[in-house]
Amino acid sequence: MPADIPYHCQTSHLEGKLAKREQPNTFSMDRYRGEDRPSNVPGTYDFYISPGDATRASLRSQRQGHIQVQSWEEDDVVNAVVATLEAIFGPEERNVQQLINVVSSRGASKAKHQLKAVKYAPGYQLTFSLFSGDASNGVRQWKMQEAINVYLAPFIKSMSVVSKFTVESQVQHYASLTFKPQLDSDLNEHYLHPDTLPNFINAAEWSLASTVSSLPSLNFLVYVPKLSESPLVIKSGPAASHSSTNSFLIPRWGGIAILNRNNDTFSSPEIITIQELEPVMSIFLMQLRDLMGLADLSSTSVSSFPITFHKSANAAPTAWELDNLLRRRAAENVVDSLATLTSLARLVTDTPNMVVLDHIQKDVVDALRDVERSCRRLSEQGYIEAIEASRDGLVKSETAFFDPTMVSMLYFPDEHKYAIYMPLFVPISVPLLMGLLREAKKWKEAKKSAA
Amino acid sequence: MRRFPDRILLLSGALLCFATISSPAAATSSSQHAFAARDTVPVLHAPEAFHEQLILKPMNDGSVYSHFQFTTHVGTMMDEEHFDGAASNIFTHYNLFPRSIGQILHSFDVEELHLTFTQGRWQYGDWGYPLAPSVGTGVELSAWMNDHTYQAEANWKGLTNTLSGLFCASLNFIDDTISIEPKMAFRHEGLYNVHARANTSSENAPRKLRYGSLPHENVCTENLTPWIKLLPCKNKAGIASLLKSHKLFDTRFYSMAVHVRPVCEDELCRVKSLELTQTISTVFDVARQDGSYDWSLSGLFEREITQACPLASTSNVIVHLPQTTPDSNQYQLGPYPPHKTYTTGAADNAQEIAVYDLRKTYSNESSTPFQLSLNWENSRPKSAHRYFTGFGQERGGLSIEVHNSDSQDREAILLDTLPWYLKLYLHTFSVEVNGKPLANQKDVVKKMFYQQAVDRSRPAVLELALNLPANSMVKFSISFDKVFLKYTEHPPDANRGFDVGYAVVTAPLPRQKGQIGYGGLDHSRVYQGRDASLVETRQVSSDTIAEDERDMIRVYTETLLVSLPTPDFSMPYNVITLTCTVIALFFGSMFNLLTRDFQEEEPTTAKDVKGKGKSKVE
Repeated sequence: MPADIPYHCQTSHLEGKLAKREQPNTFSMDRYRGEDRPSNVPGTYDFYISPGDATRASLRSQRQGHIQVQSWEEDDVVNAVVATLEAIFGPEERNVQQLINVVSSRGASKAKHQLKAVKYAPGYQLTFSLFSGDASNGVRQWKMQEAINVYLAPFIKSMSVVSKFTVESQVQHYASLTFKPQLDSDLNEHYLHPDTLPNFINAAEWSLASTVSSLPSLNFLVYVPKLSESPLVIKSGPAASHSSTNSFLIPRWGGIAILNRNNDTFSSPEIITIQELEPVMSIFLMQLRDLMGLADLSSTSVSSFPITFHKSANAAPTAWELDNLLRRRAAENVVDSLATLTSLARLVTDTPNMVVLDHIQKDVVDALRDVERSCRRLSEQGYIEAIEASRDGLVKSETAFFDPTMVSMLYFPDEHKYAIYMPLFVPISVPLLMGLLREAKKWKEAKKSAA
Repeated sequence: MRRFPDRILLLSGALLCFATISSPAAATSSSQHAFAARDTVPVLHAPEAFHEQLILKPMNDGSVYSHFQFTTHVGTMMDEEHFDGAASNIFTHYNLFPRSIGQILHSFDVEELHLTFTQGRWQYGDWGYPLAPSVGTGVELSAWMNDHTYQAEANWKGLTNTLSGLFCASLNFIDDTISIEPKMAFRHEGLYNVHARANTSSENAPRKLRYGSLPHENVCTENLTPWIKLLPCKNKAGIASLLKSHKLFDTRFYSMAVHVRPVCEDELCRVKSLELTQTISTVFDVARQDGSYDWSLSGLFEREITQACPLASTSNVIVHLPQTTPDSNQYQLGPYPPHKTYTTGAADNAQEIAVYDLRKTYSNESSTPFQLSLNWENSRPKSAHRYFTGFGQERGGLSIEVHNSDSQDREAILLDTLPWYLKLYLHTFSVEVNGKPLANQKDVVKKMFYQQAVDRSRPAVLELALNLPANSMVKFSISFDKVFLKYTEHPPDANRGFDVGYAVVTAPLPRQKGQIGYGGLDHSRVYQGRDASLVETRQVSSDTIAEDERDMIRVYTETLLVSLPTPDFSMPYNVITLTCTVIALFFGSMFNLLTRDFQEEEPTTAKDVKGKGKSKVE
């Protein structure tokens, strides 16, 4: 019940932005012509408005936008600006609103993108694995290290303000599937029905878990089928069309891409080259964006006029997307930690004989303070500090909730105490009961004699 | 203005990678900066190779000893000019080397790791020395850890817990009360400090050795499965396809090990690599089923090798041929002839060795199973055997017997670890040679290291540097007191007793002619014959090495059971019940005394007195 908690966290950035809508009107032309300098403050965006033949807008990868209006009529300008801002920030606000509703109405299904994205953590372990069905396909090595440097490095660099990443890769030979793919004899290809995809991971035999890392790990698998089972595609039936990417995403776990190799076209069939890995890496990058919860603004925004979103190289997040992610993640953390604290409060009220130690109280107080700090920072546009504070709050609320001293107390029920004192209670109760009986008899006799 | 933050980022990246080179322990969390590092440091491709080998040796008592050995090398390119520090890809990008082991080594700063699971006892008297270095019953774990950051204690704890999870074993019970730091035994096996090498003077880098054993650990399939997962070909191809847990655990002796150590790749040791050796040793009792000493691969393992592991650089099956008189053909080996045969040793000790190269067997795409069998024409010949040392350990008090049946004095190191609940009295320590008490112990015990046990925190360690006289039996005895344990400290099966681990004797012994395999502990020649099989390695060495060449051999004694005073575990409840009853009796009588009043009544008849002696007066 977040409403019960006295901290009120307002996701007020949108109001803030809309209130600023007068600013673009008062821009000076020489500034526009002058230095093209984007804002360095998260949450502050510069919009340039210019007249043109049609209304349209475009967003750069930095915190800059450009709105073209049909005329300098005040209404036109205001409408265009409002519509653009609504298109950019509207979905995000609805998202956050939904997040709060979900928690307050407990049990309602979470938003789709939230199911896909992993929980926020300050660091993630990315593991790229090559799984080779068997030795018959001839695969021995891959150039993943180089591919990571080329394709993934820009993404990791720009994401480092939100989360850090450690990257590993491994090769697993003789990785068999738990089931046999179906054969499409007309096309002479093997296919996986989408329904079987949840069983694709052979968790018993594939070494995917990290033995030491405490960071949440995300797995990206390249599966090269064995010769007798290739080409391997994903489709729903013999006549159906292929999945265009031949890959799929497992929510909150990672991504899988099936790589069919044509051994004749390569000079060295033993090594998977960077060129071969390029399409796979672009799939993985899109999957990684989904898993990180990076919202693709161009797909979520709805507007009456065209809005162009510029992207940065190699699917690295733009400043807009990063700001959006930071705000949303901070809100998620705050909501999550408040939900955890609420459950803790309920737990403590429901189990009165549970011992709650002092350090738990301290954790709860600290968590609440962190939540408050996070909210304050959010409104001050200190997004990095806000997300750090919200993370601290989440961690503290969870340590308080999962504290081992509280769990053990739950399993010492009253029945045990009764069992231990049984040898005392039973013999003591005998003379008491006897006395009671005697009194009752005497009372009866007295009544009879009186009658 | 806009460029400025970028430059700061670059600078900090460069700074961090400098920091990683100078302090590798801190580099664990900064892999993302490796990108910056790789732009400046050339990525060198060090050799990575996998070798597999199966050694089969018929024993004198008719059983067959099989020794699987899988070796994975991963290069680190640690020569002085190209040291690439923690930015090296060795612990980030894995191919043949298993990721789970790499992560463990990296995060706990482990330089050398030796983990052995053993079931059964190695019969030194019947079987000679094993090819595997550790054969103590139960689990034995030892590790050399880098102690740059003074976190070896915490790392050891993390290491035991992680390995426990990886191998599904109770390794996490190797805690402070069991772990010891031997001072003379269990020296470095590898040559160089590979991944944590900060600078050229790393020879003096602080390292800590930790050693612990669990004598009461049962080894079974759940330990074998994760072990197999570490192999590049799993048990799908090559020699490892013979590994079937069903048959492996139905043997007289089973031992499974993982050894990691740094080794040299060339003679000057310019290129170093990390070596992972996985071994499985078993002793099959072939005569048990039908009384015949004939054996074949499919009979022993109930599996067949149908293809070579394509990832292996070498893949050999080696058979020690039985010693027979030269002219008579007493046995038949099939398929015959093998790809290579060797004879090592001279005259009486000559040992004939047959080598089958699986890569040649399967080079022509055939998939017929590899059939190997040895059949005796007549009855097996009996051969007398002479053994160098035998060991026994009896503890009424506690006594350890060490036999030296050699005609020379021998040096040896005895290491014994005793749990804290046995209180040793060092003044009772006595030495007997051939049954006679020794007046001057210095003749036999050259050096002694004794660590007093501390209750509930560390075990007692007795480490002796010995000089064993020729043809002698040396007996050490010491008495101890048994401690009363708290009742919560007893295991669930308290009356079974407590396991006391084995003592280990480490001795430099002259290399036995014809001995091959991993058996020795000295690895100064590990670079030799990198591509060759072990047979060739040892053959080269036996030609070129002087007579006094020695191998460090470890000999393990039996584990023991000691029964400590066991309390009656129902006692607390009994006490509660008794006390409660007494209180209840007291309460009852007090209650009666208070609520009833007693009056004297004239006795009427004897019956009335009996029946209403204490009747309440209305």
